[in-house]
Amino acid sequence: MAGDIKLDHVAKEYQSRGGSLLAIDDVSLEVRDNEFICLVGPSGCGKSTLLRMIAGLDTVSRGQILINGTPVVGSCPKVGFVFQEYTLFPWRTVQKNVEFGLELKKIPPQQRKETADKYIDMVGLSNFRDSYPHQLSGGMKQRTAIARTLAVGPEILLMDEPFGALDAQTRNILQVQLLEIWHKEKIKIIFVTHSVDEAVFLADKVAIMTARPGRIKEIVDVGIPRPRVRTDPEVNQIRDAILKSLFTEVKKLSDH
Amino acid sequence: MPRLNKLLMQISGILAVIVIWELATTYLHLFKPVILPPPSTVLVSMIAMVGNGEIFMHAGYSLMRVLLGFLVAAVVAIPLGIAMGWVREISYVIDPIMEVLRPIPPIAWIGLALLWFGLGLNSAVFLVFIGAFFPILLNTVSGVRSVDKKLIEVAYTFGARDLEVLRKVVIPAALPTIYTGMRVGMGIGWMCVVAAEMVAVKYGLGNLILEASNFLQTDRVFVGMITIGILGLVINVIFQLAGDRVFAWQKGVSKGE
Repeated sequence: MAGDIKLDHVAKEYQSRGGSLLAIDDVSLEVRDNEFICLVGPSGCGKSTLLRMIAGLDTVSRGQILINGTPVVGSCPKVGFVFQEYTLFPWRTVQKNVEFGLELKKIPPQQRKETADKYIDMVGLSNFRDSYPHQLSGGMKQRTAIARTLAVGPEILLMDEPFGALDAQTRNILQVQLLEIWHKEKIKIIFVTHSVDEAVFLADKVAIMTARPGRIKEIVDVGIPRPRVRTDPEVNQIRDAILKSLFTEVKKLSDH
Repeated sequence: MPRLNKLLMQISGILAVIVIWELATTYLHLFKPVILPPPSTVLVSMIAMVGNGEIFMHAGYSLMRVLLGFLVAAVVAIPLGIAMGWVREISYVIDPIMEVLRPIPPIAWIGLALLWFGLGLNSAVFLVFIGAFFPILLNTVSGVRSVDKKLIEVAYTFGARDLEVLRKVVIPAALPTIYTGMRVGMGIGWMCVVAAEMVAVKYGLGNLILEASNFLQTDRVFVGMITIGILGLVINVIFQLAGDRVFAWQKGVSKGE
């Protein structure tokens, strides 16, 4: 299967004058097929760092990360990344933002436009092709960012709290849209979130991380068929279990 | 209505100055005409100089010189500033040189300008260059350095190489700041050209002022000064309007000026 991810005893250590800080310790994880994995954990547990290391934006201190069996060295277009912050290029229209990655791949303009159109349609922004980012709402900006990332055809999509800055309504809508896209595009997604509700709604598996140093505490198989209803007893049950598991970790933080 | 009121008040300020000036000179004879001619006399001279094209000739020379010096400054300062902002090592080498040269007022370069380029166009262009160079350089450096790091990271996640990041992210993001530098540089260049024309060349608005002063033609001095003021204003407004159009995407981006 293309785009298999394997994290093999990955650790991240930061060196400073006072000594070293172990942010992530001994994380092993495999993502196969077209899995949708959510990473949850107390703040500061290194879930974003883990994601950045998979994307090649941060280096690994120990262990290794393999994509299709090859260790990650720097960024590669096979791995798409969606940031929490709004990161559209403000001088480019929606259309030109989505074409950004295609320009880098030296794809001819006509083909570039067609591909961009497809993904702009997919995220429902056909009427905003020529708008500039400052004319868009937060939700529209993130949808554009998702379209921009998908346009280059990544096998893996890494998302770092992409809906974290959005209001609850928009968030719910985007979650549903993301699942549709994921289904259509047949890609792997690793999705970092604060929200257990979001994780249970989206993921095949939810990986719970411990307080710093971040380790994988347990991986919960959600196993509820989609579309899921947020208030189903089954959904509630899994959410409770994850919340309990997470609570002991958050408590460790406040006990210190 | 409040807008109209504001406009009326703004006009009334200027009108009051002119009326008091006319009263003090024509009617109260508080000043000799050679010290302060009445505005009506200045207006008559101006109409005459517009009529025979003299003022356009001088303004044309000044504009040509300022434009040349400004272009050379932009062509040198923008690439240098991008290099300094993008590569730390380059700025380590260049920074100290700039820090020594920058506090020297452009006018102080007149001595060298005359020795190096003699009387003539090149001296004036050189002085404008010196005046416009530093604002453009400093704004370019700071524009390049203050590009949102997240946008650079985004480009890397798409597999962009360093030069592509520079071309597709850093330079477009820095353009509004670079443009601000150009606007400031143009303003200073305009001051420099007037100074240069008083010393180094024939014709031009600075030259007009100095010659008129030598012949005690105070009204012509005023015409020259007013023309300089109006043209400076027009240049600035043109820059501003063009910038607002080109950088419309910047609306809501809480950066820049």
